[in-house]
Amino acid sequence: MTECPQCGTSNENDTKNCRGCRINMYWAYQHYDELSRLRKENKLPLRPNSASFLVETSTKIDDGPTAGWLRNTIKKFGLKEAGKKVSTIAE
Amino acid sequence: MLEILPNVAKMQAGYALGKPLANPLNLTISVSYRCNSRCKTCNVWQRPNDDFTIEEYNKTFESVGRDAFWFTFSGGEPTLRKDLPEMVAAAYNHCRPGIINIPTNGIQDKIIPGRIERVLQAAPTSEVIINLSLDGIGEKHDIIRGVKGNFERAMRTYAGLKALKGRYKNFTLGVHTVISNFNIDEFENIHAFVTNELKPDSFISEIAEERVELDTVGMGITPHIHKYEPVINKLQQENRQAQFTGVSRITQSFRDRYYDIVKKTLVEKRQIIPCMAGFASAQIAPNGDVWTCCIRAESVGNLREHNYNFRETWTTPKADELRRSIKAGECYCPLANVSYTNMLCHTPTLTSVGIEVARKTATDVVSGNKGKSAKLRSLPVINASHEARTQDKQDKIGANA
Repeated sequence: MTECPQCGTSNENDTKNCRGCRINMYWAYQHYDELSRLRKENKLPLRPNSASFLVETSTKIDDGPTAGWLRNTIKKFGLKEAGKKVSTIAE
Repeated sequence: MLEILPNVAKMQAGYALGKPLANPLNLTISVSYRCNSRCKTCNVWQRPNDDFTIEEYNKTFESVGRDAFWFTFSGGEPTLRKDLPEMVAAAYNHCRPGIINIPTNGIQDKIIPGRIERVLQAAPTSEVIINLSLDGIGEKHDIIRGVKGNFERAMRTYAGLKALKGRYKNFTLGVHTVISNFNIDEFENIHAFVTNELKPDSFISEIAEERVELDTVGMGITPHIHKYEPVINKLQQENRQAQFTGVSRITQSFRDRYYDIVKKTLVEKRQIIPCMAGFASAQIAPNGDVWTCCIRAESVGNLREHNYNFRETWTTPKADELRRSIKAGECYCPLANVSYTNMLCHTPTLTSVGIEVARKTATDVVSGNKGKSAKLRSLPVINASHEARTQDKQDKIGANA
């Protein structure tokens, strides 16, 4: 199981979007720390108030798979380490 | 521009009746989810690919016909498709759009200018607008877009595209910045750099937003109004003081109103003017799914299942259900592409733009002012177009010698 960095919900390892807050799990493992710092600096709530129609629509239709190559990369290296494998920017 | 007014009336009538009387004025074609950027504000590249072929686009555009005035070929990165010029040719041959808009990340600097030149040749009477994405200066751009060396490559692409300007009268070169929590503190620098160094034909900014298409729901990338408002107010103020002429004056007038709509949408969280998505605008996903918009990205039907007949796909019960929902105000967003069409179909906005443009034009006629921006646009930008012309001349001299 993988914990969502944003809301703490426990998700299956291959979950694309968090069951609790809908955040893209791959993205969250790459960028959430930076964004949460920026939101804190700007005195914004750490968790955004996403419009309910967006959350509903996203839940309804966006359970589709990620690209096969990315799914395999995440499976092999884990959500955090996969970033180094799929990013096009050198470390 | 005036030739679209009868179609605007059809869109308004369709909206009033709750049934589209014509195909959309504004069609966005997402040609592939493939992208060589890894932007912090987008996850579209994670989607699997099942892209339409050129034959499928040909059949689809044939069924769309001449109602669509404004085409956007988006992605993913649209220039990754080698057959982009053929797609544009198919749209041009069947639909004769007035405007063709293509965004690009500018990464493939050795390929993009040549590919865009073929696009320009494929649609000689359409206004082709190429918008280069710029979300920061130097390394900051690279970090936001996840590609080392992106900025440098984007600048080379810009110079290559600029060199085409002298040869193609139907070409508008723009710069496009997505304002997110990652770069809002840098926006003034970006704007100054674009205005003072690049001097494109147009500069547009769009607020980063949560979209189902981009899988950005729940990410919180949209800047707060307290940060966004002062930044955009300053941009609006500068634009209002600048002198524009002709079509640029009309565009600028709409743009000013668009920024007002964004600010109000962030605060009031509702449709500020009626949304015409589902009537006047639509999007086709890479696999042929037809959406009312990319914010909700809900399919009303797939073109492959309707024999590539756009009208048939556009009038399914699911499409009617979504149109009802949008008209009832069950969603809202500041999406630029749809907002411009909404403004065009909103009589009070259209009237106020008309009055403003007429007033400024009359003032210029009285004062003898020909407009500063017209002079600015004739200046060589990073001397690219000048260099290209010089090189052309030298090549010809060399060939004749």
